Amino acid sequence: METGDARARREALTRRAAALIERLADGGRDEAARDALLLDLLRFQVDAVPAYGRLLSARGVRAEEAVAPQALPALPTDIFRHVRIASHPEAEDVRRFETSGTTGALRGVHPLSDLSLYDRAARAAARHALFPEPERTRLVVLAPHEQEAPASSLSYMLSRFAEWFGDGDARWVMPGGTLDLDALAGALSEAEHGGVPVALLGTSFAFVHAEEGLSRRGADASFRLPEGSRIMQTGGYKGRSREIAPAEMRRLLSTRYGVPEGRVVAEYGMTELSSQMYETTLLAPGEPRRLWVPGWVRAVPVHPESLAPVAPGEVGILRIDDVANVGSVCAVQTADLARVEGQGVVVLGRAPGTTPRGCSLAVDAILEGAEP
Amino acid sequence: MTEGPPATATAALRSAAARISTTGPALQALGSDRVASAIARAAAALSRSGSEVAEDARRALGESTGLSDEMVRWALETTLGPADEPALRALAEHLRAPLPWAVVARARLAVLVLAGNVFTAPFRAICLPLLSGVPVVAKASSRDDVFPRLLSAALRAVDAEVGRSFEVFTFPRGSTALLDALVSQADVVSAYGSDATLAELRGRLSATTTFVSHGHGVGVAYVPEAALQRDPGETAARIALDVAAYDQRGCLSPHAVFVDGGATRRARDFAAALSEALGGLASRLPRGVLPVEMGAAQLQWRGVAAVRGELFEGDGWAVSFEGEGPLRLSPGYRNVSVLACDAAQLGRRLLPLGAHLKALGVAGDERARRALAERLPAPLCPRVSDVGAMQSPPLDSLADGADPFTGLVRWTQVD
Repeated sequence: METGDARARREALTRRAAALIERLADGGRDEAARDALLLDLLRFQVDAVPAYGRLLSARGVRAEEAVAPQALPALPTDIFRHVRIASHPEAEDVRRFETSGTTGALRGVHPLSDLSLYDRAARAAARHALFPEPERTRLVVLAPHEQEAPASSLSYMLSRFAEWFGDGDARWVMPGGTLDLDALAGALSEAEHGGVPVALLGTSFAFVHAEEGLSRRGADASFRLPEGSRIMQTGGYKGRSREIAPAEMRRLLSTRYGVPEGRVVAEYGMTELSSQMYETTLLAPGEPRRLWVPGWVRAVPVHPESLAPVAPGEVGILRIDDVANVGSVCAVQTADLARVEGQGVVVLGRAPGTTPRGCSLAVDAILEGAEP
Repeated sequence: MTEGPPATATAALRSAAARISTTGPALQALGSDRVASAIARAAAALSRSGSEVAEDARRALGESTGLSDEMVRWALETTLGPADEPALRALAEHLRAPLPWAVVARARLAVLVLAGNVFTAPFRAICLPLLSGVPVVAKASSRDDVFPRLLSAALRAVDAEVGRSFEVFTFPRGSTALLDALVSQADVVSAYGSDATLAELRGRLSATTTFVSHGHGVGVAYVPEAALQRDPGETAARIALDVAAYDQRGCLSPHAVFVDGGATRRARDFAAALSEALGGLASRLPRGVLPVEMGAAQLQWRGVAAVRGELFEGDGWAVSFEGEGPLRLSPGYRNVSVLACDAAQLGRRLLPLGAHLKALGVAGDERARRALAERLPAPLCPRVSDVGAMQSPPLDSLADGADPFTGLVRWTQVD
């Protein structure tokens, strides 16, 4: 049961987070303000989110003694699959975003009582790194609409993109989660012949399915999308399609859709977070690709055992602190490998299959959903 | 489209495999006693304390496996130490015809497809064909070819005639044309690896080739109430050794310990004792290098344990206690779950692991182990051993519930 004091603290923190995002929306940075807010958020969440309180107890850490957010442990993303992570009562949930996964597998759940902060963060980051031009554009989306996938944070975000950045004629070419190749080809042909720039947005595996389907159609199924078009790809493959290395994927996308590689942008988002990161492709053309970290987010690769930040250029495990995660826990420990390069981060993905874990691999999948 | 290997490489591999297969009659003529003697001397050379060969071997294996020097030494001693001449001769005795009207018909060539998680695993897999009079080639990736190459060199050094019936080929995973060239010559293919890899390999073999698969696997330990009352510290120490061996990377490594006793308090106390025992091993058998990607999995696993139950964490190990919660496999590298479980429920708790349960360590005598084995529901067929011995199966141990000589010999019936 949330006390009146807890609610007041949560609401005050939400207002501070909103103000910070607004202030840094144009790409600005204020690390002192960000870290001060993160520290206050974590101190609040230690009390408000029982699982986070237990994590601190187990680690022998006292929130009141911490002088910086990095002194407090981040919550591993797997925990979202096992216990409720929310600083508000369940009755106030307005949306529960769920991680994707195989049938029967436990899914991570990120409950939200208020979408305004999520919207503010998503809009600011996308405006800065993906839709920097003021003109509205035609969206062609390789993902289900939010009405078909209400638990998908990606579908929610893309639906908002259609409202914020779209020309009012967005095309959703993956109804029910199944790619409609005719709809995709039709939407792209129409844009190509009408000279309408397109933002082609979707998951990596959807783009692979599109590539396989279109390549079977021969020479007619390649496009030269008008200048100003862009492609945003996101997410891993999760066994839903063959995997393609990032550089090869960019080349395929560029060739298939006639969009320069310099207009292909990877997005990094997680169900457990409220903010997203985008490749610097449009922000710093010609420079090496890395993720732009919004000013209200702290993204640091850490050592797996000491949890201390690794040196720039060294590979660590990505910890993300997101001030927009007021309603859950703002410090999230991902399982992604990453390194810092310049002002940005390069995510190397997850690679358990390449490790010498040997024959124990994948037995976890057998146990998913098994009765205790 | 990926570029395949040059045709000359495939042809050369096919030719090499064919050449090795022709050594079979000569190997058989030497007799199993001579082969046993050669293997025993090679094993001794690799594991004998103070010998230059053994020192070099340990250095190379430490680098290739990431295990600590102490762990490499332990693994060599526990695997190669028991492989003396009498033990290997006794192993060859298994090949005597079971019926007077049958004679042995040997395979012409055995091919081993190796995985790199437990570096000593190829030892027995190489011994068995040679003792059977069957030439053997091992396919290894560059990460896991150190031990088989050391064994090959040691065999050639002690007995060149035996040694020429065993060769190692190293090429990267996914080199299907090369692998096809190798297995096309084999009467029996014994493969270690992921279930997906094995299924794919099985599909490429001819209908007459025997396929022996060693896919995904895990181990579990069980502590009955009697063991808790007798000497919980000793039981914890034995299980700690099973966990620490090979840094818990093998398919016999225990990932969970079920503790009987009808009270979760006892299981919780056992988790604390196990953590203490792992701490005690940390200096004698230190953990090796933790790859960063496994560190990522470890961080997730430990985090969930801390939130859902209790986590006993040390420098290089952790034990979780999650009451009677669901079985949650650890990422290995000395992270192990302790769960409370009534004896009557053990079979049901293990059932989701199916044939992937390869080792069940039981803190009890042989009668207790047999009684428990008889109660295991199908399709469970793990090796049931004492705790402390989960990672050191005897030379004549069954392989995934099957005769270890499967495919190496058949029987010609003479009526």
